[in-house]
Amino acid sequence: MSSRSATTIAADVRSGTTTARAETEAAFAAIAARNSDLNAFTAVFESRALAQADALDADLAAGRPVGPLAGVPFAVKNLFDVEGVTTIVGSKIRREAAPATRDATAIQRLTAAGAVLVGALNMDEFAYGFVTENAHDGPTRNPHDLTRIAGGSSGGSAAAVAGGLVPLSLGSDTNGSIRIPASLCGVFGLKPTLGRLSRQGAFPFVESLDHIGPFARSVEDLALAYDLMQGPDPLDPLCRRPAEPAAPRLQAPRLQEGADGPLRVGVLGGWFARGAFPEVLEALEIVADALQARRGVELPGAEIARAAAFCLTPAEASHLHLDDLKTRPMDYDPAVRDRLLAGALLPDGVAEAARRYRPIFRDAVAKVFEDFDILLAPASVCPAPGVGQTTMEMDGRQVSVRKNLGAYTQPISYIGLPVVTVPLNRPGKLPIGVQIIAPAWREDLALAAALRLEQAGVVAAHRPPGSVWGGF
Amino acid sequence: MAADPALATFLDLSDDAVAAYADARAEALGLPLPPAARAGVIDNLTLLRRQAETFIAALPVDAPGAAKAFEP
Repeated sequence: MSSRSATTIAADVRSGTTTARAETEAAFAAIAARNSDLNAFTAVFESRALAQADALDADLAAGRPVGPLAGVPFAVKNLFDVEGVTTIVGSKIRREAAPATRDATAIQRLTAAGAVLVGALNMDEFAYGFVTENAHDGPTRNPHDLTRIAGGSSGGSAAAVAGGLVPLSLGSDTNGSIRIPASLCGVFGLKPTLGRLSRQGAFPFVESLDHIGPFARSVEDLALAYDLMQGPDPLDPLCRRPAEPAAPRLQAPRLQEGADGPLRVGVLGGWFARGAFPEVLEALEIVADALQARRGVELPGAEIARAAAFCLTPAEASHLHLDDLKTRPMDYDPAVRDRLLAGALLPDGVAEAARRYRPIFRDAVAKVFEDFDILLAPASVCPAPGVGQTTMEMDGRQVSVRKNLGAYTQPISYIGLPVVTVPLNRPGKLPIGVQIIAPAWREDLALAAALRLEQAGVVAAHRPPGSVWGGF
Repeated sequence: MAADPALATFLDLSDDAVAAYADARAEALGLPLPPAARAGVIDNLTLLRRQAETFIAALPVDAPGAAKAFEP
C-alpha cells in the first residue's frame, strides 16, 4: 500500500509535516508526469486549487480548525458541476453550455472538509458506457497496462487514483460505472444506496438509477470520503436520509463487531457466475474463503432485473436528449448516439414495465438478505479488455464489450443497493474486483467486510508499473 | 404480459421487422435517423426488444404500477 493515503496526507498537513500547497503542487506534478499516458484528466483547476491550499495553510498557521481532509487533492468525473467551469459530461454538445454557477453538493462537502479539487476526469459520453473510450477526449488507459481500458463510465476517476495522480476521486454509477472501473483499475469504489449521497450538480444520465460515490486506495479513505458527503440535501429529492457515519463505526468497539465479528456471507451464483472468466471466479473464491462464505446463493430474477435495467436506461436517458437527438445527432459519440436513438424509439410501456419490476426484485432480494449480512459477486466479467476491443467471449459467445461488462453490476444498481468494490491483492497481474453487496442503507456492513479483507491482505490497491505513488 | 397495444406490437416484432418499425416510429416522433446511425440504431433496438421480452414476460399480470419514486 502507498503511504500517501488521503488520511495520511491530511494528518501530515495538520501536523505541519507538509503543507496543503505542497500537496496540491505535488498533485499537479503527478498529473503533468503521468496524464499524457493515462488520459485521465480533461481539465485541471490550478488557480482555484492553489488558492484553496493557501487559505488552508493560513488557517493552520493561525491556529484555526481545518477539516478531516485538509490539503488532500481530489478530482471529479467531468459530469460534476464546478463553479466557473462548463460541465462537459464527456460530450461535444455540452462544451457550448454556460459555466456552472456553483459546485455540486458532493464537491461542496468535500471542500468544506478541506479537500482540494484539482481537476475533472474523463468518462464515457453522458455516462453511457463501461469503457471510457470517449470519441471526443480519447480513451483513458489502464495504469496497470496502457494497452487496456480503465473501464467506465467513471474511467478517469478510477485511473487517476490507481495511477497515483490523486488519492481520492468521485464518480457516478447508474449501471456499474463506479464498480466496473474500480475493478479493472484495482482500486476501492463505493456505490452507496440510491438516495444516500446527493446528486445535485451531477449531470443526470438516468435519474431513477443514478448514484454518485468515491474511489480510493484504502477502505479508510473510502469510508471517510463517503461519510463527509452524507446528509440530506433539499436540492436532491431522493437525498433525505440523515447522515449515518460509517467510519467511526469501523473503529469503535461496536463497530469492531461489524469489522471483526461474524458476518453471514453468501456468494451469488446463477446469473452472477455465468460467462465469468476463470480468473474472475478464482478471485471471488479467494474473497469468499477469507470471509467463510456460503456458496451458491441465488438472487431470483437477477437476469430479468438486468434486462429491465438494460431497457430502462436508454428509455429514460433518451428523453433528456430528445431535442439534441433530433437536431444534432452527429455531434454525439456514435456508440452513445445509436443507443440513445434506439431508446427513443421504444414504446413508453417498456420503461413503465421496467419500473414495475423493480419492487418485485427488491422484495425478492430483501428476502435473501434475511439469511445474510452481505453477498459477494464478481464486479466485471473479465479483467480489463484492450483499448479498441469491441467484443469478448461470454458464456461461449462473442458479445459486445460495451454492453456486457456490467452484466453483474446492473441487477444491483437497479434496486439501489450499496456495494463496495474491492480489488483482489494480486500484484503484477491485471486487477480483478469483487462486489460486496449489502442491504439498503447498510454501507457499514460492506465497508466492514472490505476492511476485514484489507487487514487480512486479501484485497489491496497495489502500485501499477510506472505509477507516481511516490507523490500519492 | 403486455396489455398496452403499442407495447404488444413492439414485443411481437420479429428481428427482421425491427428496421421497418424503427423507420415508422422515428417518423412518427419526428426523429430523423441519420443514415450513418441507422444500422446501429436497428441493432440496438433489436437487442432492446429481446431484453424487453425477457422481463415483461416475467412481470406478473397483477404487478402493481410503478411508484413515483422507488425506495431501495
